[in-house]
Amino acid sequence: MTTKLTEGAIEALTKGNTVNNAVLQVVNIRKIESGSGPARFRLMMSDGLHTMSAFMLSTQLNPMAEQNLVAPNCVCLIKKNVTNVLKDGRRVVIILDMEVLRPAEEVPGKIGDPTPYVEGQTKVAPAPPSAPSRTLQPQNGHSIPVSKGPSRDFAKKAPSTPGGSSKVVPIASLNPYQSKWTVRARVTNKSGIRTWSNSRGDGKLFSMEIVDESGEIRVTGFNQEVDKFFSLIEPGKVYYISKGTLKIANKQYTSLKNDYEMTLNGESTIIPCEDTQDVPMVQCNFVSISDLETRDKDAIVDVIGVCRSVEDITRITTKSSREVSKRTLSLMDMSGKVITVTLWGEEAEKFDGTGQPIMAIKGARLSDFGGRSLSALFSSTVMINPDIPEAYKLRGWSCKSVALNPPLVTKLHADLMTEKTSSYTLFPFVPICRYDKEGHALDGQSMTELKSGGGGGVNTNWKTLMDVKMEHLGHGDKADYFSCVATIVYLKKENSLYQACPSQDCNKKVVDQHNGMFRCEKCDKEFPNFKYRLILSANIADFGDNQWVTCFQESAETILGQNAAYLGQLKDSVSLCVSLLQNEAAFEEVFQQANFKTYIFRNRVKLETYNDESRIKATVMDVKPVDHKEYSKRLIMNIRKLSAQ
Amino acid sequence: MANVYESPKARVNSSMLPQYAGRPVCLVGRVEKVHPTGKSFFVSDGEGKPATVELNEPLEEELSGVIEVVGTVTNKGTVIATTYHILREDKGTSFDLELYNEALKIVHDFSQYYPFEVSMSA
Repeated sequence: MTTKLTEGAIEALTKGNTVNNAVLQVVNIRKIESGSGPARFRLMMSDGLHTMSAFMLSTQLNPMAEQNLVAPNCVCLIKKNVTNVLKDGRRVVIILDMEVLRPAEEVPGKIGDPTPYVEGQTKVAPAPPSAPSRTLQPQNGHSIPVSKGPSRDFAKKAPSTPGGSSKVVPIASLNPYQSKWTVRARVTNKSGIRTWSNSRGDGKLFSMEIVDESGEIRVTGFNQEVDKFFSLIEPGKVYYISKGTLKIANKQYTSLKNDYEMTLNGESTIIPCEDTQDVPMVQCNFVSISDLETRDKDAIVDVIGVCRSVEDITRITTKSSREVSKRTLSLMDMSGKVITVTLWGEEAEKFDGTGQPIMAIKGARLSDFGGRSLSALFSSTVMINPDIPEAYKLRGWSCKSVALNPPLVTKLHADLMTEKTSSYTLFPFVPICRYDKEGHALDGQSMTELKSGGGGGVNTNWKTLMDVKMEHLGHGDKADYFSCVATIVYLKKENSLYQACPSQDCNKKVVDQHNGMFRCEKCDKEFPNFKYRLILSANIADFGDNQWVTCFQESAETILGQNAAYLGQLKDSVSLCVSLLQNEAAFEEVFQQANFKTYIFRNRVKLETYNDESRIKATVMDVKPVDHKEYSKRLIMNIRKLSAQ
Repeated sequence: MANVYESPKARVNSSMLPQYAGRPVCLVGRVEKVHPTGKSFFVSDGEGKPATVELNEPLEEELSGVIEVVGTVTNKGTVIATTYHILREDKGTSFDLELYNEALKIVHDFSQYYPFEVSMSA
């Protein structure tokens, strides 16, 4: 059986005509290594009459060449291609989709006697560079018969651009080797304007993500392009975008499934498009919350879930001493697992969790903080009750049971009211949709370790005090955290209390003005009073070593079993010589009683340098009573593990 | 026979009893059934294996829950109790018999690190 090549296809392609489903033979294939990004393959193809060497495989087809499926002599069906005109008028045909009809081994050799195609020979004038619009004009249908292959030809049904300058192409076909194209896409996410200032000058930029039915891409505009386009772009609207610069995407900043990203340049145009029907909204690749455990730290993921609870907004100061708003909430999906999500800045401020909305986050970063948690980044898109099938499915799943079982709702509310609600808003008066259809409690196992957890979660970094020293914990750039079971062997009474600023959330030490007023440098204010706070030095020990640790307010109160205010009273009366002996004894007693008790400590260690002297500073983050069952289980497990080695 | 109170008592579970014939032991188990005569009762250990405890004097109280028996193992593999102690679960702390059994096995598997029977072997 001989294979019929599509004679005349090379000529048509060279002239810039669109050829669909051409059958061509590979004459030669060459790998072109590029400095950055994946290698490219250049092909010489024959239609039996002519050969042409300006064929390129798009990178998604690289595996075909790497596995030698595409090799000299094999016969291929070109399902999808685009032609690019280079600056000097030469054309390059990018193959976007192809199928090997007959592998190289089955083809005896070159079919026909093709000669290299030279445009001049057929007396066809090259397309004038001033009218590149002809390049991709829809001439398909008459020059070459269109076969009814299964190709998903996006370009075919796409409308032409308003200016008519070039045909609309799918985002998936964009690559750096084309210069004339237009995409019709919906803006799914638009950043604010960011500015930078460094040794090379300063400037500003914004970025957006656009999507069409073929794929998505990130678009960035700098300086003039910010002025030109920023105000024009509205998230959710559809635009024609043409003539951007394409380059290899920096995956560090984006989760989009595209090897390239686009930069707007002086020639770029963005025109709003009214006909938006067939352009999809957002492309998400949702990951089940239960699967997050297996993903790498810092992975960028899309998640969707029911927002079960929301914490109040808090403000924190970043390392660069910038103040940002922060809000954490918990999301549960159909896997029944729950994860903590942190929103920042504007997203945190405007978020309204009333009524347990469905929440989809595109491009959240997975962190290993407290087991597993998610953080919405600057580039993330947060959607509340999005208009997508996944959201409706989830809503249906989460609400089914409550309707079936009205008494359950009452019971649920009762349960919730008794739950620890101090820092959580649990919306007790809306249906709590966390029961499955059988009415079984779906408590939702959390992927994020709760602070109040009994024996510590699976991911607790258990160490003995000996390990801490042997492994030089805290010597790195970042502080290390570890948990240990240890016993208090000494508590330093001296300087364990200090006079702190009485205003809420400010615990700065105040300066006694000796006129009945106390001055806080941080608040820049004087107060007639102060509050006592604890800063307790403790020596803790286990079987192998001991360690000086610093305990602040909460952990110190736990250890001493008394609150700071009471201890302050005792101390004051000592210094005022009022019933001195009695109170001094009571103060002493508190410290004596606290000795030789065993706790689970969670500590932070970091090497700190004072006056050229470096030493490890250990701070207690959390003190908990030992859960003996949990502890025994862990010891037994460790012994068995060690003996098996 | 040496005084049970004065000699070291190996902590054992039901299946270890035969190896300890004639020696003082400490057995912890759940009371399953008391003999009608009140002169013996049956316990099951952390593995669910049964053991028989014999008493010199008939019981004067009802037994239930987890019990710690100190006594001597007979040739039949039963324990003649010298004394016993009921671990009261209603006092708040529950006793995890399975976990206790796991710890017990560690003590026996790594007896070099748990030299409780020094005077026995001497």
